[in-house]
Amino acid sequence: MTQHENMTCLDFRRAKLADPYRLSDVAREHGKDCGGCQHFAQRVDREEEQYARALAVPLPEGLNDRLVLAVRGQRRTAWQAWAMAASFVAAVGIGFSAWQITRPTLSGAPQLVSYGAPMAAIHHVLDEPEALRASEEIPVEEFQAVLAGFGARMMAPVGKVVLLKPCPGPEGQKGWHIVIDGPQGRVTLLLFPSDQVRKPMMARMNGMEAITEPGGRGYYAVVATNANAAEYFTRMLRDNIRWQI
Amino acid sequence: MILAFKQRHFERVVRAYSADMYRFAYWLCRDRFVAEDLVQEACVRAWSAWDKLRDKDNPKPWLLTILRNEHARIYERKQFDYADEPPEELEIAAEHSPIELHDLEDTIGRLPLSLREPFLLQVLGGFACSEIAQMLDTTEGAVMVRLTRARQALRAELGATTGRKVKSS
Repeated sequence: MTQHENMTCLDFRRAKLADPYRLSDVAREHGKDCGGCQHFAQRVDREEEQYARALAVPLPEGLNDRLVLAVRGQRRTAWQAWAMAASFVAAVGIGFSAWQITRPTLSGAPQLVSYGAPMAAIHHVLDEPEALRASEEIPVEEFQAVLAGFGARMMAPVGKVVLLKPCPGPEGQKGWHIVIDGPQGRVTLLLFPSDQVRKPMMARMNGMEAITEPGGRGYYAVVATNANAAEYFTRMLRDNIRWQI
Repeated sequence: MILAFKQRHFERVVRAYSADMYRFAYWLCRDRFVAEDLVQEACVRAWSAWDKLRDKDNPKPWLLTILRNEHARIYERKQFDYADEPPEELEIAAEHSPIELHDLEDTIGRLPLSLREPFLLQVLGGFACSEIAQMLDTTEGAVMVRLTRARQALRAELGATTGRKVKSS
């Protein structure tokens, strides 16, 4: 009995599926002699070509140049350090001015505004229209993990999560873009780490309503195409999620 | 002078592997903006640790490991389930017509991360199971099981998609 006769078809197929292009000599011998496995191997090879084509997504234009610039940016000269310090002072100044505009009032109800976080939330949703067409069912554990990372805990379900992805916030910070099928329809929930939202605020634009409230490690924004859905969902978030663990 | 030489070398490495890094990042997060951000972060980290890399002739596994860690940082509080039981049912599936590329992309994107990661490292990165095992800090056997499962899942899903299309036409 030759060595390759010890290899069964099941062994061959396991090996082929685990690493299609690195079969052992014994497996290759088996593949030559067994018609079924030969056919199987040809099918797998064809599929591999399809996988490789599918994975080769187009590269963004100028990627290399941006990467090189990012790396070069790590080496700062003295004047660059001064420029950074000046930018920091300017940012603190702008931040203080923004806080003066959005600081809390005595009222607890969302204040209608035409600037700031709720408007940014509407723009965020309008900029990513494909997000509202998501149809995946995201496991609730993933949503809970994201909430936990944001400093919040889900106490009761809030709906079916159909999209959950990291997204840059209005200050460039890393946040989360979540789309949920709630009791009153589809809503977008944005979670952003920031201290810019100190009280509930609301904005309306292009048929959308956004409500932002402080919560977790920053604030959350609820955006919906009708006022009822946004307000209902925000109330549900207050009831079903503990925003400070 | 030495720094300039070192930086030129690193920039050549970045240009050589940026495509693999970007595609790996994209298929991990499925978002082109986040993917570019991840690659950029990984390159910056790699540059600051460049002196520590021993095998400068083969930096690809090291770069992809840094990238993978950057991606994991986003999900740092998430735990993934790994199922390493031996695979079964390896019969030849029914022959199906070539499927459209976007169906395939969706199907790959839906693979759980525990299967997708080794699959990407093998198909995009060209790594052997032993190398992937090292990068994922697991055993070669576990990687083989995950790769087999990944391909089984893809074949099953693709077979089902094609079946649905044939039925509806």
